[in-house]
Amino acid sequence: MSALAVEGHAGAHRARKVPLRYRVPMTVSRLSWYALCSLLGITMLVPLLWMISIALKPSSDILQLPPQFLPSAFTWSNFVEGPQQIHFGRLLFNTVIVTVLYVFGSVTSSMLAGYAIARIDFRGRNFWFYLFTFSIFVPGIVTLVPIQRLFFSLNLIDTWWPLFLPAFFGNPVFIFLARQYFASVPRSIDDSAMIDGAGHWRIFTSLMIPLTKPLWITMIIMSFQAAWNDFLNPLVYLNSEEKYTLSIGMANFMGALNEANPQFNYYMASNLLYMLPPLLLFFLAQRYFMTGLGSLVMTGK
Amino acid sequence: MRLSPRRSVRRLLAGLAVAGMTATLLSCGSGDDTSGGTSENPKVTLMTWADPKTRNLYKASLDKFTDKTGIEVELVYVGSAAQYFQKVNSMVLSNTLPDIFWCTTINATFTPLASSGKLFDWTPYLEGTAEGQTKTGLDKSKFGPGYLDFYKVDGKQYGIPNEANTYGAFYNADLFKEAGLPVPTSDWTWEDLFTAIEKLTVTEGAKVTRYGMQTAWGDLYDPVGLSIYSISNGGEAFAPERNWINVSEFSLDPQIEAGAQRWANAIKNGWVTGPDFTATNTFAAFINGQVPLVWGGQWNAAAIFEAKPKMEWGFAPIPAGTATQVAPLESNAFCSPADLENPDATWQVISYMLTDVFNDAYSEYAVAPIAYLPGSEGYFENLKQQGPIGEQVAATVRQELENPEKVGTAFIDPWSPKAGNLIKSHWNPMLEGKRPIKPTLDEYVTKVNELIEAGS
Amino acid sequence: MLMAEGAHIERADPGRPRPDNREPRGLTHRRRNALTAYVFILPTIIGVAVFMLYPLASSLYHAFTQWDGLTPATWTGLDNFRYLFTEDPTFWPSMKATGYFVLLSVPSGMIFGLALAVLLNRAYRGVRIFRTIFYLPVVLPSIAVLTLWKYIYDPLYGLANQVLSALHLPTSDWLQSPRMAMPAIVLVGVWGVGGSMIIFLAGLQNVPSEIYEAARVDGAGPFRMFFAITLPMITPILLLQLVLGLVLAFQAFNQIQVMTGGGPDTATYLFMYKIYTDAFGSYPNLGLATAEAWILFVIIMIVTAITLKTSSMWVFEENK
Repeated sequence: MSALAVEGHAGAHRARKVPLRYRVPMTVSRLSWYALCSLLGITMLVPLLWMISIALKPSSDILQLPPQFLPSAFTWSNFVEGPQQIHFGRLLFNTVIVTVLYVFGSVTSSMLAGYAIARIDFRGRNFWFYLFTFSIFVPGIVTLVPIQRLFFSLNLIDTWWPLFLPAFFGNPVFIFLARQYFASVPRSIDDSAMIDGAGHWRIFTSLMIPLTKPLWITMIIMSFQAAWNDFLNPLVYLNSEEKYTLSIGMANFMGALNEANPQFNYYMASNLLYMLPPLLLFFLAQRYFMTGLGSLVMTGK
Repeated sequence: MRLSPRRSVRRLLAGLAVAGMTATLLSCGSGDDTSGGTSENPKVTLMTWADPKTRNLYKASLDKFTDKTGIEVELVYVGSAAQYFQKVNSMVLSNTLPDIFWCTTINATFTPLASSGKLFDWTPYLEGTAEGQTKTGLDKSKFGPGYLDFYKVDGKQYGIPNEANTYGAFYNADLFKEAGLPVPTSDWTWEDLFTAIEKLTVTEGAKVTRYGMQTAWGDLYDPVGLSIYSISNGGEAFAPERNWINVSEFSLDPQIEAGAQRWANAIKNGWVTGPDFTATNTFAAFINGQVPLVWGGQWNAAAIFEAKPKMEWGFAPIPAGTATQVAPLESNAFCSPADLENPDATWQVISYMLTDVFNDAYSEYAVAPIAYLPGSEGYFENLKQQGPIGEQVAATVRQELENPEKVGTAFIDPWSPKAGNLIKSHWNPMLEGKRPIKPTLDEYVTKVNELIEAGS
Repeated sequence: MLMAEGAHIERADPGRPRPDNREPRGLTHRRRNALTAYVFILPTIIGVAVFMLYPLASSLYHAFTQWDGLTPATWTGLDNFRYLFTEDPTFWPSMKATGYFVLLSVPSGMIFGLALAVLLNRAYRGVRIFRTIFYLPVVLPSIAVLTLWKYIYDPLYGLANQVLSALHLPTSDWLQSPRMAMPAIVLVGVWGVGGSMIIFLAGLQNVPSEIYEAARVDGAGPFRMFFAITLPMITPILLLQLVLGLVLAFQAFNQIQVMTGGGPDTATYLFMYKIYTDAFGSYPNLGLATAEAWILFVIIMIVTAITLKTSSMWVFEENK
């Protein structure tokens, strides 16, 4: 298991194991497979297409009854005027900063901890590993009130600190994944480095980081999503509009739409822009999105 | 080991580190720029839940105030009215409340905040006896009756009432005429209401395709609404204290039970939306001519006027019963934190809000009349400019404000949040026909009495 | 442990100078290792102490107090729990709603995820496009998705009723309807089923193809093969998904905050949302909220423990 995991996260998928029975010519069963998948795929996409259509509608279309699926005129200006309603640029800036710090903090701290637990033989490492793993199961809500009090007493309410600071102190899920992954790297690699006099810091930075690229890219993606989507924490910690992140800004945008004249075209246009960064990341690193977690899970087994 | 990935990794890490540091610095920088200017001019922060349009109108009027007095006013907004009170709590706990914030007895936060000493006591300023107080021209005697009492806890004035709300039914006169119904009048009755909503309901088979009435505000058939129903038909409210301050004991009048029966029946038949109906587009649908009646507060009129609906419409008051006609008693207020830095400047802002800002702002956008009566002129002026419909709305609002037969719109004693849970678990299921009416009402009364007793 | 054999080559003669002449001033190799390790895990130790152990202890204490955060907490013993279990009229409805949500959302996520994974575990041309499409909703921010669906469910202007009436099917009030609100929320989760599909796919691809071939030789049909080979082989993944799904379902919050606010009445009043409302929503009732949070914690632990305990009955262990 362990040897396989190293060379191969990418490799295992490239040479996908395909049962023979699937390699069949174009047949009725294959055609119906395409039909079924297309039907399901379109169903999955319809809500998104509908959203794009609303984002392009002129304001006069919004309350039209019965609603039309297509805009009567393509109103690209919604993508400018919509975001202006909520100072989208400001929210985006805030979100990017919080996200970058969160990603950096959680990935570095968890990589270090995972490495130490997997590859350094020291007293108490099992104890710490179990403790870290246990904290995966502690629901955030149990600790939320005391942590909020903590940030009250540190005078950090209504700042971004509570949103990213905890990330710098290890993410239990990441540590668990990292530990599994590091443990699957053959010992012989760092043994030879040790004989050359390399310390753990050097082994970690110059050997392990390149070797574990699928691991930390997956971690970057997961922490990016966690930070970009985080809603409860900004809700609890931020009070000033100019410090809000996009998640809370968008929820407020929806909640504050004028009752008599709700500009859902503006809303949906902004919503699309809000979705754009994660989508870009997805298409850039699709391989890691699609196989990363799955293969890490398989390593962990 | 190839060289390139390692390098790119390093570069990536270095890049992340630099980005991280920059962002930390930035976030530190922007973290403490709220501490206010160092200039001599006092600065007062004012937090509101108003929509962007109203906020801009306030701001324009307050700028004139700044020119006159040198006092700067910063408007603070928490992003959503829905989260307003959550943010207030967070600010209370972290001692970051703005100098003035909108508060209301409808929300359960006011009384505990006041009685735990977290709010500023405005009594001496209101009486004009505070030391070194700047004269502002605010006259205590010009508040409408009952409003100041709402914001008094242990004899101290913790809130200065501002917007006075009224409730009633927005109706689509065209749909009424189409159905052969008389358009609601200022003295229409509960009978008229029930007849109308029954006739206005459209069904297709067993399915309701158009409710006779939609509720955008829940007061109609909650315990307060049924108390109103009961009083207007010669019965009693749930408690003798009609403003719900220091409620002594709950009891069940047969008229309340009769009202509950009627509403449960109306909900069952789809004449009216269920008790927890919270559609976001109710008024949009009303403007579109899709909804014959919407139960709501007078502030909705502003948005309806702005949308320029094609139909004939109006705002009818709470219907009359066989005995009398009842009006709601409700207002929002300005509250301030106990450790207020500059009470005199803050008081000047509050006074100016009541005397000038509301007049200026609401003459542009008719949100609400003001509990401080001279502050209502702008509001009514705007309605007048809206033509006959505006005057009709104004007449209804005036009628409710001037009606001496008033009932508070929410429970405000310390037991009220816990009693609020009973609405979800007992009251609403009763109206939806999932619980029998009489036993549930009895249980409700018993449980509220237990809560009242436990609190005293 | 995997590392035991190779780790201490140098321990044989500790006195010899190191090749790089960096003698660590009297520290043995073992000690130095421990030191390095602790430096590496120090942030996490601090994190666990400050952001988990201390808050756990603090909230456990406050669960037995009356506390609004404004005035000091007063010890009230079991009062909070007694109130919740016997008096609070929304506690049991909230438990019921939570149970219903878990029972609907966890199995539906697993079944649809597995079904999609089986469907897409082929080497047909274009299979990657379908995988991408099914995975797409998972990538989108949850607030963006939830606000979108909230509008989809609008009875008058929403897509859901438009589609249904176009197909001449009965429409619904969706989030306004006590009966449909919860299924509607669960459906949004099913839209994001691509996440579990991907994990199942990884599991399916690890099933050795020789087993299928052997079964084919024995004349097994596709259904037989699915239930006799595929399903048993991926039971470890099923277990993982089940535990993760349960833990997450018990903590569902965004859906409720954005879409229903717990209504109509208590139809979607998930326990997590109730805790949030009690702690932050209205007047802070922090003592009660921490008591509730601990109840949730204990429930999650019990459910997880039962799942893991009973898993030996159905999880197929690979003999290594």
